[in-house]
Amino acid sequence: MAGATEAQSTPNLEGIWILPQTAPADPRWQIEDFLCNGAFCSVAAIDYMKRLLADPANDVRTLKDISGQISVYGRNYVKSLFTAAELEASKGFEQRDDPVNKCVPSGFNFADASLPIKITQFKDRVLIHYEFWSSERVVYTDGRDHRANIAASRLGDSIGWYDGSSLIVETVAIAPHLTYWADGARSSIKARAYERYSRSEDGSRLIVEKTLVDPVMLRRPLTSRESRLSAPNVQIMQFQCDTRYVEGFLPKQ
Amino acid sequence: MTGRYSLALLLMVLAWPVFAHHNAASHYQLDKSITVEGVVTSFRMVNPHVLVYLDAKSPSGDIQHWIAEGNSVGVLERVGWKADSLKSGEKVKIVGRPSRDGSNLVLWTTITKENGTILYGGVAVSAFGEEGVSPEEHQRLEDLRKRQIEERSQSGQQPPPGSPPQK
Repeated sequence: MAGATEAQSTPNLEGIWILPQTAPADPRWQIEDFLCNGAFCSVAAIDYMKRLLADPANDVRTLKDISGQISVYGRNYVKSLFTAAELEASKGFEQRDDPVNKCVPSGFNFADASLPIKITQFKDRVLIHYEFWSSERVVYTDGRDHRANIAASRLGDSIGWYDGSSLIVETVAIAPHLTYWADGARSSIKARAYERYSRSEDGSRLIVEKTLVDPVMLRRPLTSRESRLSAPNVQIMQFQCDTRYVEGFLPKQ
Repeated sequence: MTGRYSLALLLMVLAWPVFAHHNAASHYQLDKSITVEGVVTSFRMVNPHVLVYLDAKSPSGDIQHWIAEGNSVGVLERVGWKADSLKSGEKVKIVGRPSRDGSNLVLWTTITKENGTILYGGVAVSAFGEEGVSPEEHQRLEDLRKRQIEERSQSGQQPPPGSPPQK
């Protein structure tokens, strides 16, 4: 039984929410959604993009050119936040080292990827279903604290609370994982995350801001933002990693 | 029957080619382009990424096995891909990004069949400017940009202070 309709002070965040990859022809998308939107789009890069698009001097430039500039800025910005430990940890990484190649699900920082998510709210918790890896996350909103001495896990231990029109989620006990922010970049056991889920003013979008705080790997918190469209008619698909994918990679030639 | 492959190291700029399970930039050289022509030996509509296996003839004449990696099933099925979109024995030309480690992997952006049919969708649509975006999609994005410029022009909005310099 959904709680959002029962407690009037609780913002309704329920629904199926998508990024452009799921329905690229949806006329509600704006140009910004195609240039910088998703798990690897930092708030800093989004601000940079907006300034570029608002400057008439860039009107004659191709979008390809502008997007390249945003991309370079975004990558440099992220790398500027890396600690020496992060730079060291990412050395020597090779594609085939990625655990996903063995069907091990990607970690917390890339739990949703570009695939749809479904949010269901209850009185005491929020369920976030990710099509990616067909995984489900429980965010407790009943006032409890994090569980003591809980072992680190892929999606960690999440508690949440409502702040006006937003749901704030705090997650700890996140298992160290490849963050994919850069080649070989990973999180440490000290990482924690703060997320803010809110609807756009017209209600058609879900804005998710995710801040990763990792005193070992990041000099400052790193915040990404994605803007998802409401898509009630999209069917959430089953995601099964196929071992034929694992078998697929050839030895280096 | 085999095809051939050639490297075309073209400088290309990309936006946010985020794959279903990883950031493509961490695995592939996104500023380079490679063309592989060969014969499909297997097409696997699997997660986390759809795979095309092909045999291609190297410049020295020997046959090399390649894997072309696309997006996830969930992304490709929604834009029309099916399990039989490619068949073993088909001759194809695959354009994409070469691997970082030099192995015979390519992140495909387009797959052109012998009859000229072009399959898109290998790279996230957000990677604007990619050859992986269909001409229709490309035009739609250009139209969005034009509309944005027109709206700003009509509003008389001034450029923000401290606009980033052009490249």
